[in-house]
Amino acid sequence: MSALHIGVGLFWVLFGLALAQQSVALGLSGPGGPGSGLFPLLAAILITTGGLGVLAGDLRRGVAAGPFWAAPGAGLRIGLLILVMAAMILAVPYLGFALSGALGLPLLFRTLSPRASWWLALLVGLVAATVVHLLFAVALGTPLPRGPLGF
Amino acid sequence: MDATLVALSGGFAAILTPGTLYYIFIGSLIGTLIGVLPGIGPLAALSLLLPATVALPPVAAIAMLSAIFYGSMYGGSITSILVNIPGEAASVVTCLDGHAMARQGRAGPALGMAALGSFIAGTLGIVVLTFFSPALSVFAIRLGPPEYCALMVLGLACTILMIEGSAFKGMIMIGLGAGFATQGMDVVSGEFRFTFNSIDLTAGIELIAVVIGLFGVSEILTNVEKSEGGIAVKTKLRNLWPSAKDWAASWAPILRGSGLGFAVGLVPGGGPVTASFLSYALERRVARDPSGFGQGRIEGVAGPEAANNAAVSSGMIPLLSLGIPGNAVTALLMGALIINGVQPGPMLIVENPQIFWGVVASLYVGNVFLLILNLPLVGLWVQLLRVPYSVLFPTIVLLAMVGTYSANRNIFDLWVMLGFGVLGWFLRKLDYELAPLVLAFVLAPLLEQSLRQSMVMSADGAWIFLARPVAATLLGLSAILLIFVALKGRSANNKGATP
Amino acid sequence: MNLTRRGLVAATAMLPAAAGAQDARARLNALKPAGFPREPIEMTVVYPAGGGMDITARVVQRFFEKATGERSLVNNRTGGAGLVGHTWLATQAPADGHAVGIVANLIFSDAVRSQGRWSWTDLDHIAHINAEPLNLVVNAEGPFRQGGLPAILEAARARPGTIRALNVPGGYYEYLIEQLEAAAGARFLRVPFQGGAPGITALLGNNIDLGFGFFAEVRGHLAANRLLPIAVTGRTRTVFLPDTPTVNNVTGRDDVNWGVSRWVAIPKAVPADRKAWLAAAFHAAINDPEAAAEFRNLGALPDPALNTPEALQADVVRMAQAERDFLIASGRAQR
Repeated sequence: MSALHIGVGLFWVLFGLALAQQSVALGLSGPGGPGSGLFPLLAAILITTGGLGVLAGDLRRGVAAGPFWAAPGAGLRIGLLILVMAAMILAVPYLGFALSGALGLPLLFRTLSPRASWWLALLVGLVAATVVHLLFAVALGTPLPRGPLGF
Repeated sequence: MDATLVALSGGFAAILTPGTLYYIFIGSLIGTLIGVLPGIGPLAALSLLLPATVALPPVAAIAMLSAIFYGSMYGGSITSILVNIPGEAASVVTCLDGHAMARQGRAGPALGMAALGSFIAGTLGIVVLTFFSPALSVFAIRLGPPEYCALMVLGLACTILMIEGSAFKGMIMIGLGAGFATQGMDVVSGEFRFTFNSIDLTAGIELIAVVIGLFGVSEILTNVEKSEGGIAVKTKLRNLWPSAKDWAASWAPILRGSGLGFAVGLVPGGGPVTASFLSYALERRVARDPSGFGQGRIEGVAGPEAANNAAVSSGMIPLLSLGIPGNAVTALLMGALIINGVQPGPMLIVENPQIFWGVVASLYVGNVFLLILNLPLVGLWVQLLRVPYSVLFPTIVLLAMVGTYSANRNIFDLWVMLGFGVLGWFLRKLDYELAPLVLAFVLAPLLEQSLRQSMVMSADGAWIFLARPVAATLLGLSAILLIFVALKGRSANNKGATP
Repeated sequence: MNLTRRGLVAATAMLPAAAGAQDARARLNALKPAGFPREPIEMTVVYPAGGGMDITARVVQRFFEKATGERSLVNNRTGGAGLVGHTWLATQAPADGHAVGIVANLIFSDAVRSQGRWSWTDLDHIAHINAEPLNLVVNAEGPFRQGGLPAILEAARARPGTIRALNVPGGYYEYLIEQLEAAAGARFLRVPFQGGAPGITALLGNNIDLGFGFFAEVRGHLAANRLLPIAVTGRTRTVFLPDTPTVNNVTGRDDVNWGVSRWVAIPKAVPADRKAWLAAAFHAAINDPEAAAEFRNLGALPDPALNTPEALQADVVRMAQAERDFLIASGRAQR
């Protein structure tokens, strides 16, 4: 874990420096006052300074080493969750929210409850997607992307 | 005073018809719903319902739309408290102590105090609106870029107060928030910053996507990581209503939140979001024993919830008295007035007194409706905690996706939401606080714009801030705050729970 | 007062219009292609809800539904001060006739900002809605309450860089200031704002000296005697402010003609029959006398000369060319 902390600290410093360089390129002063680059530069200074401070603190005091993942199998769960959400976002313009939800939610449900049956997962997905669709598309009338089935 | 009361009673007479009352009720209901649903906010809801109001008489139309606005301030706290996912950007800070209370079995008092605080603050705000609108609007109109800038500086100084853990980590979060906010179009020069030739990035980063991602998606990821079914929240409730002790602790924060929220909401650019953050910082600063903030102090719920409602009330003042919109929602309300054939402006109260006073009267009535809607339902909402996480969280994911999409109808915002969700989850693991990021994200653009405007306006550069009394006072306050912080340290409790 | 006036107009307009409406609807139905529209017509506005464009679009939408009996909705695609929405319209909008844009002449500068991704020629411009000039206003209790535009130009000439004028970077507010400066040999202090409305707020508080606004933005303040109109852009005086000279009157030149012009645009690839029906439908909607009354209430007037798609197309080309000429003349663009 401590390697991770050091890495993150370094990242802040480098990111801050990169941001600072881009900000200066934008221009620090313009007609009559500060330019576009001033505030990004201030942000960059905060990030770099903070990063240095965090880095120094971690190096000096050392970090309590503990496992990165809070529980066994967490990595898989997190990875699956992110993957399914990304897939849903990709699917929405083509399938619409209701269909993407009906397909993606059972996967999420199964990730959270691996011991439940697929039928239950499908049911949960269907019901949740329907409720959300009714709420947003029907009750509130939000214009949402439509899938091949027209909703 | 008498004339005002007479006019106000005329307003009540105008709205106390079954038709108008029905629409105020519908607005309150929709507002609560909008507040509960993560992502979709009053702005999106008002844009959707605007066409429906054309068929209504103007008072009913504006009353309904306004009810949606302040109703969302009631509803937003519900998901914040129950599942640590804010329903509105203005309910982010309520997650901190509100959810902690829920974990201790005190969801009921938290929800109840949020509703009661909202009601008291909202009503107080409307009372001040009723009697002091003209004077306040005269004052508000004289505020210019230097004053806004000074106010934002004060707000950022309060952000620093909020940081509980490592100062350096807080610095990084503020820097990140401010940095993310610069992405997009620079309003002062019209140039694009950090858009890397992508049209989608020219729009900047949407606040709702950031909030839902940083607090909603990351919350889900964090919980999922910890165990398979998620940690069971104590559904065994100790009690459903705030106790006498809760009231003793909350009455002062409610009053302070009302005052602070009212002041912040009056200024264009300030609003419920900023008000809630500032109130939280204030409560932490004035508490005699600041330990326990972030772990279930009811002051951390009562104050911010009061503040965001008071800010809505005061935000109506520039709109109704001067015809000046202070934020996107009041701009929309102004459009609604125009569409309904009413000319907003200083002459509104003279030319259409029944509309002015009808809307003011509807604010009172709406807040009562909302209290009635929210308080008894506390028991019902708490039942939400019984739903297994494996069902609840996927549903929230879908709700959050649709809600975030509804802001700009842009798929890109969903990627932003996911990205910030992963970022938030990662940062929480490493003990970074997320609230300062959001506050900096909200305040920095306003600060930058008003700072640069002030510098352009002023013949002698930065001296303009000292030359104008209000700006100078606010800056002085900020300086005092910062010196105080530097000397005495941020708070007695440096190991506070991170959100 | 506004309520009864609206009611009166509605009532009196309804009687003779009722008979004509039947014919109008029949004519439209004759043009309507089979199986179209399948879904509500989506009218895209690239600016936030409640603003001037949005209000105009909603009026158009209401009368479109009245004229055709078809469903429609207004969709705000905001971002990048219009760039995101215009880009969507020009590049991603479905060409089946269900997506329509309510656009303004601000689309020209966005086309330039898109850096070649699209141009306003990627859209077909089918129905003109209305147009209005910008009004120059000052604070009625401020230092320039007397003397009108000549006085403020003189002050900006005598004390360059001290008279604070509302500027919205990258658009015709900026062009207007430049032309004023060129005409009078003056130099204003340009205070940047995100749009006209925040600038009007600042003007009301005497935080700036000269502001520009559309009629709907300033009308309430004019009526309350908080603001004074001192000039209007445009070739002729407006009917809403008959005593206010045009900028050209004051400067003696002929180059100031900025204002907003609003019209309906659709993707070029929409099939011809659907295009024809849409053009006729919008035409019917906008020419409804009630619609004209509502637009007049908002301070904008339709232009009868632009009543056909061809005339509108020619006018769009003309406006785009005029703006391009200005950009070249002011050194912003290469020939």
